[in-house]
Amino acid sequence: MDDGSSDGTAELVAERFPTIRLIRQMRTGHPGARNRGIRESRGEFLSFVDQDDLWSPEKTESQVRCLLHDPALDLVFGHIHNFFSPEMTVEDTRRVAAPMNSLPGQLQGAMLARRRSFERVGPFNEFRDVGDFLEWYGRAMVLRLKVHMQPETVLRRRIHAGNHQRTRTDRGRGYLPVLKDLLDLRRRAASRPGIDEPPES
Amino acid sequence: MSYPNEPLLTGIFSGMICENIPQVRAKKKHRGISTVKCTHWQLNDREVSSEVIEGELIVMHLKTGKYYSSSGTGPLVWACLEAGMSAAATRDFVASCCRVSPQSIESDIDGFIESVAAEQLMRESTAEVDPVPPPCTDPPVYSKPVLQVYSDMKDLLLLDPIHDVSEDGWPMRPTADKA
Repeated sequence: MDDGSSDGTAELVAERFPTIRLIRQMRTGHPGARNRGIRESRGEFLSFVDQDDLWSPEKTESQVRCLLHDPALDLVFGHIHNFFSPEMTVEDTRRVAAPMNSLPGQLQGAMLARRRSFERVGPFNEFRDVGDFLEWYGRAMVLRLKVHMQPETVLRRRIHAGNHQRTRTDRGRGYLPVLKDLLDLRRRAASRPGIDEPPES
Repeated sequence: MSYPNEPLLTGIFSGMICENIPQVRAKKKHRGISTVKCTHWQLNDREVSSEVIEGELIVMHLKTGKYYSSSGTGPLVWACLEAGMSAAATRDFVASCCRVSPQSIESDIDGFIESVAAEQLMRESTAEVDPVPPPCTDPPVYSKPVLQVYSDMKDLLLLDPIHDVSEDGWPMRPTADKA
């Protein structure tokens, strides 16, 4: 999916990777681009990777094997490793408080979803600037999708100076309406028979 | 939680004389009245975001990945603390606003503050403040304020804050190219 890029990415992909089916659209943001990609895609499994991150060579094979092995499994995630993009200066890297150890990666980029499971949850919310995956995953949890976290690293996530232009608290503020909607969704679900109360720690 | 200085403290709604409130300090200078240092609460705003949405307080701690909610009287108590009011001033303001006696809600307010402090959402401070109480229009019927704590999205929330692509897109062009 090329979501309205203007830096020559689409032309480069068309030229260097002619077997890739490239879909171009006016800029809609991450959720809109992913939803369009899902609509245009075929096949039993869905996975996502952003333009700046790197999958491990084994990701697809090992995650497909996981879903084939357990037909009841809906989503499989793997661990992620952050890395600093080479153009970052030492000063840039000092300003970043990103964990550099292996982390359980509840991210689109570290996930393989069974298409029918994904469709039960529904598309990403295109009205979200922030937290569209948080909302999607929260909806998946309300439906009690079966999830597996692989111990292997499946995604190397690029940290670059642009990740951090907004402060953490500004970004956190963007999550608050998502969390409110998730709490409301769980309460509605809890009021239906057979669904648990929201998990409170 | 105990508040060792609390017996000395009284709220601005019960005749508090706090020397770290500018107007009081000015009066003290002219009239020679005695004052005490007042402890109040300060949002841990480097690590915490909060907002009241449709009457429900939603708080997120960016460092722990926990999130919190509180309804009923909770948002009003939070607003008092966020404004820099002491525990006693908060108690008196909430009591006056909800038309209940301050004594009857004292342990409720202390319990809420204890939760807020234990979760490191706010910190005690003796810095100079001039608290402006929150509005008391449409006050809630008093109910014990409770802070509900959730940690089910911790892994995801701790990952996500560094992953948004900036407005400049990716890859960032060298500054010279942008000009």
